[in-house]
Amino acid sequence: MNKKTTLIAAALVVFIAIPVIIWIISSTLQKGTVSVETLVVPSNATVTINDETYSNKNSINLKPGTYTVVTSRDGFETNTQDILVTEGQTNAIIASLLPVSEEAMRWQENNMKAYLELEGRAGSIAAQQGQEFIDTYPITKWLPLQKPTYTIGYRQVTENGKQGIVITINAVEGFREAALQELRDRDIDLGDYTIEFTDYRSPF
Amino acid sequence: MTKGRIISAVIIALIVIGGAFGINEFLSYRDVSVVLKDPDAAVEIYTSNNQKITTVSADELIRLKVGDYYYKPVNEKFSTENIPFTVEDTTTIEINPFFSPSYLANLLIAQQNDIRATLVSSYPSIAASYIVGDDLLSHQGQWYSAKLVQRVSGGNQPDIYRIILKKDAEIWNVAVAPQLIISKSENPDVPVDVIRKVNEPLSNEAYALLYPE
Repeated sequence: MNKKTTLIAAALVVFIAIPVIIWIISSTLQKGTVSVETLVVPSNATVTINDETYSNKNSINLKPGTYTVVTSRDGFETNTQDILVTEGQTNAIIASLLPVSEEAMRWQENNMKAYLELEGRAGSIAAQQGQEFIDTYPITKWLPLQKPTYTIGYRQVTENGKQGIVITINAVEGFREAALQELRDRDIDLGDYTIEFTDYRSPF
Repeated sequence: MTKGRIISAVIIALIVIGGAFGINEFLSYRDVSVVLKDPDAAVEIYTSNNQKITTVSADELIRLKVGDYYYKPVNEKFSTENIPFTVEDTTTIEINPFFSPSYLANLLIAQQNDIRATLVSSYPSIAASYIVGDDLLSHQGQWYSAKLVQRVSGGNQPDIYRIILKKDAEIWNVAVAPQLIISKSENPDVPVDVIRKVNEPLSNEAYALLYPE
């Protein structure tokens, strides 16, 4: 093998094999994780999730579950929020830090566009998440429902890192069955849901 | 090439093709061990396009081609619904069909006293204050479900409670305590068809018990 061939082989290893190996390792590490969009202003603020710190990241890969996210930067108010990361849904960390120091206030004045852009993107993500929620739980499209003798609503719950809903029925004795019939009439399989009755105590 | 050689070549080709088809056909069959969990549960086995293959009335080893099939009990003790199964490899099919509604209804009459005793001992108020309606047995008679409706005066509407019992080792036990509605996720051990049935509205027959003329 002459010198030229050796150089070509080495170049192939550097430009093809190494990126492929990096891609395989990174894919393996990211297996089972979900991409979470990171929308933070100022963009170089520090995002801390379970003692892991990130900075200047457009997205972070996390396993499905609930996380406490702390976003901070010197001179700005620290933002703390709980997020639920769900597979197959739009996930995002949105933090618009308010200035506290004079320097930070000047930064904000000069970067109002970044705040407005984040607000716009946050709005479209909220709309997307709302639509995904309705697609997953079509029943929520027509709830809450108020009738003279009962009210049917719902509340969101998180169990084992998974999002769900509990149907709530507020009705006096004798009209609870009527509320259930309202759901049956809308082709709801009542066994598919956890149904809670407010102001109710079992006589058994 | 002579005419004779051409004919010989064609014959050999036909034999080879025929042999290949034969081997393929032979290899597409699998051993299927049919086990009757109930000695009365004789079944007819059909292909997915409704062609009857055989009747099995005792544990038997049969050979079936890879594909989709269904079986249907022939004894009226059992529900006559088609139960699908798929043959992909050598397999065992356990035949354990549900009892027919009429058989279950007779079984319920025979079990009524034991069930009533379990209901009343678990929830004494049932004896005097509740009507038990829409009660039925399901599957092989081991699941009991019913609706409990409080006796009320005048035109008052009572709440309707659902209860499920299960028979284990000939003893009835409460599987799901009385509830206004029974959730599948909170009762993963209870068959979904039993939950779905008991969650239905109160039947007219049960209403008649509640408001006798």
